[in-house]
Amino acid sequence: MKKMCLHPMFFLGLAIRAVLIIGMTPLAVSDWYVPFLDASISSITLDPWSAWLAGGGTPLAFPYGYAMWLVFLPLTLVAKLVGSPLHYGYGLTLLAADFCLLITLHHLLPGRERLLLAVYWLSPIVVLASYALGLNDLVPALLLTMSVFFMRRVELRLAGCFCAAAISAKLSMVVALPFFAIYLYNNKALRQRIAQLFLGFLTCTLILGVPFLFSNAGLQMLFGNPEMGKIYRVALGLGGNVSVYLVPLIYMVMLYLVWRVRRLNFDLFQATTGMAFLLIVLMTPASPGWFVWSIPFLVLYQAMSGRTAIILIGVFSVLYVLSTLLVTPLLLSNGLDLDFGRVLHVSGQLGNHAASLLHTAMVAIGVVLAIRIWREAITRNDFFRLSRKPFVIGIAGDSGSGKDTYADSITGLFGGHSVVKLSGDDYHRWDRQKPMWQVMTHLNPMANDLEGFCNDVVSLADGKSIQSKHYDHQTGKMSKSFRIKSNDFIIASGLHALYLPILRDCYNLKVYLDIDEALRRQFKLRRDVLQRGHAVERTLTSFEKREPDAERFIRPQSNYADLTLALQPIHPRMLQHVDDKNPLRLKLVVKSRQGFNEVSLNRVLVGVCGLHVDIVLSDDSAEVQMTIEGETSAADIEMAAEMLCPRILEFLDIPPRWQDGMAGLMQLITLSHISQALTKRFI
Amino acid sequence: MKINNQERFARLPDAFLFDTDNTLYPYDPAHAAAQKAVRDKVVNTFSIMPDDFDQAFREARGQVKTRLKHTASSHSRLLYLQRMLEIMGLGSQVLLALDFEQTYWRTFLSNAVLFDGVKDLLDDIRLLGIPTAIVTDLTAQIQFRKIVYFGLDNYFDFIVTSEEAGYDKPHEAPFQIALEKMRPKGDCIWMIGDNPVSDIRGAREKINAVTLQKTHAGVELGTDANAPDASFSEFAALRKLIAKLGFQR
Ligand SMILES: [Mg+2]
Repeated sequence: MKKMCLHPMFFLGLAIRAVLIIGMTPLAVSDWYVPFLDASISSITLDPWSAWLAGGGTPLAFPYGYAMWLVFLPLTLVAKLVGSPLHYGYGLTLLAADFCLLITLHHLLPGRERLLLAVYWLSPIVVLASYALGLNDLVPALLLTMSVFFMRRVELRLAGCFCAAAISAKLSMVVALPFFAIYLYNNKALRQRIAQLFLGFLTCTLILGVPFLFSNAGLQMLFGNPEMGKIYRVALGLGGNVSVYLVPLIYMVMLYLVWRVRRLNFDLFQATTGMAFLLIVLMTPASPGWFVWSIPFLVLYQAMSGRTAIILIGVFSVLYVLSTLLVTPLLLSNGLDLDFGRVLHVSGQLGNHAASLLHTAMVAIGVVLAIRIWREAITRNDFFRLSRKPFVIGIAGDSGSGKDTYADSITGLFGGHSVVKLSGDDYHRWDRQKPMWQVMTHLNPMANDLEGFCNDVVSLADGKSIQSKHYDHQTGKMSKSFRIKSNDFIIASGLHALYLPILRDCYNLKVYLDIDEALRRQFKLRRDVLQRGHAVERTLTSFEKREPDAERFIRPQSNYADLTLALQPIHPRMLQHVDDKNPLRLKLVVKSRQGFNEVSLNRVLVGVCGLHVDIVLSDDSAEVQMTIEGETSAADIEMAAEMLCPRILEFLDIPPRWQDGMAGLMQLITLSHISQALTKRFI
Repeated sequence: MKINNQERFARLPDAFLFDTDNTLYPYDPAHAAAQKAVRDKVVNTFSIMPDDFDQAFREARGQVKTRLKHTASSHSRLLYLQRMLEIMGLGSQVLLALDFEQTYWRTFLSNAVLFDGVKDLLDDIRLLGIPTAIVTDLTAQIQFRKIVYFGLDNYFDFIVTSEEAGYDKPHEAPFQIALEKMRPKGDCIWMIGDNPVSDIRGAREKINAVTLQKTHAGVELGTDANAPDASFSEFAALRKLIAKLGFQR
């Protein structure tokens, strides 16, 4: 911040503002806002609107709510107390709001001081609208930007508060509300917390909004405001008395488009909202105040896009300023007025023509900008491209290899609300009591409805719902069928999840869990006996009975996996002496065929988590094998993920459930593979 | 860039020595965040007051430092934490000590950011073909992790820790070992560091190095015997100087 405030551009902007505050007394300020504020200071009242109208004031003077009034009150009061002209109090309040907006944007765009100063602090629109014309739109723009800022930090209560305050300051801010709602609703991780936003919004509405409803004069001034009529100005006559109003039309189409983007991340949210604001501004000529609302969003877009966007928006702003100046005279504080139309001898018919030509050029650039935002910030947004289709993960492995535990840990990252799980166990052909199991093991593909499994995976991947049954391990029976809806992430696990070629083609990531055989038997014995209530002998004999089928049907699937995760005891002998004193210590062997980011993974595991890592390249370099040993905590894993695959973190639940130890490592490695698999969608 | 002894900057050096902590990245914010994370964790684990932690830790650190004087282990966070747990009457608590230590370093690393221009500078030096080494206090284990974390392992040719040398700077051992490893072509060595005593005075007195002090908030510029030959606050300035000397060459 210090760096920004010591920059020459900052002082330049400050000087321009100071000159304008001293040298200009815009009509709206001298005739409306200042007298209104003066009146409300002079007679102490909580309903300044009624007092004003009762005193014979014009209803145009202050068509805003409490938030606006409260913001302007302190400095106006100070100006009154020190006996300076009140419009300095007004101007300084704007300057304070302006500076706060700069700081808020700085928090949203850390490290971009020069850009901010150039495109915001020196923006001709902000300067013209606020200091030459005296419009107060900076205040609602600031409140809305604060709301967006807290939205990004997922502090939704505050975001709701500031959103309500923005609307209280200027009712037109209500146009942003549906975008907020769509953003929170379509992003399932955020949807879980939408109540917080409502809470903040309602609390603030209760404080700022409800008292206003009791001020008849306030309501009268608000709804009698002719400014609102501007949105009906651009209309297509359909003959008779019926017209199509373009601003509301475009607005509604924008809402629909944003809704169709489905899951939004923060960047998409601000890009779409900014685009909607820009289009509204385009259709409402000579309302520089309205332009001010879209400035924060345009600044964010310029930061993302680069030079061309900065130049386009610069030209756009200058044209907007010129076309506004041609039709709006400026008032200097010595009582003279400055009418550019007259100075340039383009008044009357010629003036209108010139203004229209300017405006046409401006709309052209505006449309180009809107198209660019759509192309660059939306359709080329990573998140947008990645969340077009569900992401499908296939997990195969022998019985007891930890498929469910693993699937659960991945689900914990993305959140149950964003994941649908499909278990191969639900596709066993017969209930456990049936005689067929005497001649066939569960490991035999014939004993499973793989075709049904496959159809269901395809349907879910296509976004359709399916009818499924659930196999109850306790009773050994299938449940009645029920409906399962598709979701952003599909996890299909099963003994034969990678068995059929067509199934393998469905997955974006194929995982095989290849646990150490002795370890697997130990885990399975414990689970089947303790959780599923099987007899010990039966479980033991089933190991022998199943071995040939495991060899024939299950293990070959590992050849098709992108990622093989194998848990092994640190030393084979360890298994024989496991008790409370000698806890089992494990190592993770990772094999990847994806050409995966083992170098950066190694760096992070050693540097951040302090683990021991061994990397071996297979002879034909087609496969990387990594052996990882050591203790690690959920916090380590989280930080490692932030470094390793930051892009995918936006897809995760808030907060994601990271795990300690080997399970956490498996989460990390899987995430880095998901990140890579998602990247493939760009190619 | 403030140059005190112009005549010592007539040409590019034959080798560069770098300190790490507070020279390549600001140490204080990272340490403060990490220490707070450990304090929070200890306070939560044992339901004690933060002040009790501070006191026990200070005492433990004092004891370890006094016992080990100017060796690498005297900086060992693990030993401080172990001793702290003992002072709190809990015995050695090996697992907890390890856990707290990892909490410290994880938080430390995630809050440590290289100064602007460090990698660019190292790239410039690499292209000029001049060997570089890190000469740093503390133990090899954590310093190596830092280097790996920052992704600097490919930039430096050598590293010497005080654990390896047996003594902290300003003892001559770490400097001498660095030169033995590097075998520079000539005797013009630049030492870049933040500490006026151990980096600046140490390097000048022990290996007659040209000394450059990195200054920023919280760093005191050396004076008299500790005065550097030059000081700078931005690495960009150092890059300019090197570019100028490189051009003359
Ligand atoms: Mg240092």
